[in-house]
Amino acid sequence: MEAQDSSIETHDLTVIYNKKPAIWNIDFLLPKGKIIGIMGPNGSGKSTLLKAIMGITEPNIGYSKIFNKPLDEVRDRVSYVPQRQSVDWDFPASVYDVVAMGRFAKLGLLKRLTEEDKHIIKDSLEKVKMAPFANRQISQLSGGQQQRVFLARAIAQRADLYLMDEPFVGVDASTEEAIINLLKSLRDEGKTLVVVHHDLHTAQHYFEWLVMMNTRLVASGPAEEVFNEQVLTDTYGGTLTTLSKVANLLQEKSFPMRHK
Amino acid sequence: MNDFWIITTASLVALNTAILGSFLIMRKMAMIGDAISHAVLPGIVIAYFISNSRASFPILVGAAVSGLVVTALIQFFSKKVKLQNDASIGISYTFLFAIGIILISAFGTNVDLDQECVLYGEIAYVPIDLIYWGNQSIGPRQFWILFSTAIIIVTAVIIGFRKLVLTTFDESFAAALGINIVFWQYYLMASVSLTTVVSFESVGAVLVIAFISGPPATAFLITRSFKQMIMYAIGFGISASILGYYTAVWLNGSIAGAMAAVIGLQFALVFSIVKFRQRSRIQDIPVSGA
Amino acid sequence: MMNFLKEILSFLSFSEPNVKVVFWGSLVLCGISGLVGTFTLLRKRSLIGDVISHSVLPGIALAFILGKQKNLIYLIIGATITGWISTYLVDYITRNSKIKNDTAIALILSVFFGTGVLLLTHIQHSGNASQSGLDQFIFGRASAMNMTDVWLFAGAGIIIIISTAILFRGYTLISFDEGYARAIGFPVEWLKLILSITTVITVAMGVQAVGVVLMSALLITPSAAARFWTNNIRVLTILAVVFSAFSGVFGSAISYTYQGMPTGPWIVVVVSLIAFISALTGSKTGLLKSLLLRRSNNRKILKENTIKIFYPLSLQGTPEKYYSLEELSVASDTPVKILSKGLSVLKNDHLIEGNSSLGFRVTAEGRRESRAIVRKHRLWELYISRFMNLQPDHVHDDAEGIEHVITPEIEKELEEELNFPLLDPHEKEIPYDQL
Repeated sequence: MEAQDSSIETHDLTVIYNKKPAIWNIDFLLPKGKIIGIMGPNGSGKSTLLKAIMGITEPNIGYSKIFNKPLDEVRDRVSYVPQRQSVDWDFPASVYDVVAMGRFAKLGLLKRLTEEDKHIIKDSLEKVKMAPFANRQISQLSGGQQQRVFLARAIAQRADLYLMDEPFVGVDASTEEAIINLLKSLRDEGKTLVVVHHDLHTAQHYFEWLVMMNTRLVASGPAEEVFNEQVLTDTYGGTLTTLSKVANLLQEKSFPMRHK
Repeated sequence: MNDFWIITTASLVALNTAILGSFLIMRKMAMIGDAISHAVLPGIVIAYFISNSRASFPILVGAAVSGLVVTALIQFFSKKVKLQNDASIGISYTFLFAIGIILISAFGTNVDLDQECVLYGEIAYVPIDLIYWGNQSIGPRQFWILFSTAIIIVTAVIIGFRKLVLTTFDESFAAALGINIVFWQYYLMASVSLTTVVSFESVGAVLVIAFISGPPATAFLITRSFKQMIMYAIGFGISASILGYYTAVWLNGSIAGAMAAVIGLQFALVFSIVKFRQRSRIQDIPVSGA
Repeated sequence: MMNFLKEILSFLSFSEPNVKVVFWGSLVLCGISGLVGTFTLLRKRSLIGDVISHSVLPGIALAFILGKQKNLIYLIIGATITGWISTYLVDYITRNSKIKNDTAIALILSVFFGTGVLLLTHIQHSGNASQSGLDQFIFGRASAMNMTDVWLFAGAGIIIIISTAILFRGYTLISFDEGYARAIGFPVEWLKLILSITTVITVAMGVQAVGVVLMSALLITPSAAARFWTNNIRVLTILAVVFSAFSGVFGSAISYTYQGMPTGPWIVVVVSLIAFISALTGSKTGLLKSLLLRRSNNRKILKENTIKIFYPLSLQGTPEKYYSLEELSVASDTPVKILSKGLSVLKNDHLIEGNSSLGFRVTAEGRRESRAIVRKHRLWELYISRFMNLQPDHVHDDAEGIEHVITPEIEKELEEELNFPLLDPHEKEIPYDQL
């Protein structure tokens, strides 16, 4: 795969938390128009990777590109779905209010919602089957419904690339199925979907491309090639002891990873 | 007429703080408001001493500087040396407040600022301090200062409303849209500092906090949308100003103190009603599958 | 300065009878606050101290209204009751509604304080003669204490110290891991109750010296300052008590020395300064320490990067050859300024010999060092290209950094894990000392 055909390219991406690498030298190209899973054990830096790609966390080393361009040039083509638990669902807002946030980037500071925006919001709500709940207060939603609201907000952005952080966590079976069908229909429209996921059982059925990581990149490639015992052992079978010793030393001695 | 000016002044404080307080409590930053309101003291005293007047501009500058100092101190403790957040806030503002009190004692004879005024203001004197247009009095100085502040705050919040709501509700989504989180954070903190400083003289440090946290918290219990929450908070704040004033007259005590007490009663009342209704609603639901 | 010292000495010599009261009063009150504050800090409830100290005010006013006079015991009982109610309310609101903890704290703190002010002003305006001195609770006045007060504080202090000593293990556990404490059958609720009553009583007494607003500083700041020095909870507690008691004595000495200076704020300023100094120099998280660490890291990096320059040179030329500063600068693409700094470090460590006119060459030890750093670099390149899924052209930058942190043990592990490889990912030789 060449860089110009890729949806996401990361180059030696490294993020350091507390002087210790949370992700280390992640370097890959992801294809377009596929459902891509990012997998790895807890604390392996999956969410950090998404945040670094979206510029929410500034990478200490390396860079990433989206559609072969810097993020800022293509921001309106990318949509990010944070972890559901990252927000306070007691916030006084309705389902409609939250989905409308998906249009804010295009509206700027003061412009009101146009008829078209309203249509898009409604349409997005229908796609996740939440239209009847449009006026429901978000604090009254179940976990699965909250997740659908987040997805509707992302759809309302009308992006080409969707980055989703653990959309399947804490949702009921019917929501899980609805989400995966939604992902497939988006893929059929030519969109790219990158999903952080941790359930190994479903991984093979959900994703066409897999990124396996554990702080470092273990493998990235078509699901049927990547999903084998060796890769799984490398990803989940404990950390590389030498690597984590070096990481601990960096932290202990406050050693800079790069210097000039 | 005195009643009118005192209540109007307090209502303006209530208006500004209700708007900003709604954002602060949703951001879990109510105690930052507390920290700023105490920490502006040394700046105010020094400005007071240097300019030897109650002129608003130097005091505003002084307060802004110490507002920045406390923010920097909190950042230093929590980020640089990794002290837990609540302790960082506690250390920083008590330190600056202590310095403020020491400065008052040191300059005490030259300056008519006193310790009590710092904590609970002197709203009772608002109607005495008038400003004049030619020979005609056009109302108390405090009223005009708070009125201009209200215009600034309302305009600032209307302009920034969408971004402020977005960064408050979902910071990482906002960042992913390319919104500058830090900028809007400071935008809000600057508004809070301004409001705190100008409210300081009328209601004092601790009672600004009552206005910042109380009415928005009460409104939060019963509202469905954020705009509604702000409106209710303004309503609660202004009614607390009116009721508080007459309570103070009745008890012959501090006006600002009475307003804070009323704010507490409002919260207690709404809280109990909400709890009571929740309980009766739970009892109403028939046991399913029985 | 001399004058000031003299005044301090005169303070400490108790030349005036009242001084003795102030000295012991501040010492006892601040010492107990430091003790109790340790657990407030460890339980991440620093701002609860803030709530309590503001909320004792209505209790003091009510005790005065009901008791009709200024009796310290009544006032402390009143203060303890409202102080305790306030913490209970904060917890109740947080647990039973969607209101968040910080909002509940701000709300309760300001409402209780406002109510206290209302009651206090009501008392003042009602013209009760014996109310004079009631407002000292807002700002505190150590000088208003008398010997009876001090005995009362000392008595309460002894009870608090003994109970804390007995329950120390329990307090430690609930601060560290409440769930575990519950699981192994500790009476967690009782421990929390006793600790919170102890805190409230401490605050109720402490407002005498520093006043309600600054009392929270006496709970938070000493233990926070101590936190920069130790991880050991016993040492932490003792340090907090020492810092706090010292600030108490020093602060009251200042207000004794300078007429009209308030005691409480000075105590707080002193203890805050101790906290700043601790933050900068403390052995645990001190900035000074990390500054020194950074300097020694930078020296190591400079040294190793400079000695590395000699490795390719020693491969091609005769080892005896001296290289001029310019030659070295060109060969390594390093600015002369940095290079000469690095060379002087090397010379200091006897890794090279020569001088700027003669040129430089490595010593035997220097040659070993240069091989060692290149070896680490290439081992690491191989390691990460194998285990991090990186192309050979992506590994150099990372190894440039990591080579400096690899210890002999890690080097050995790498060698074993890679099975003593001979070539790095760029097919270059990995130089071993002896094979």
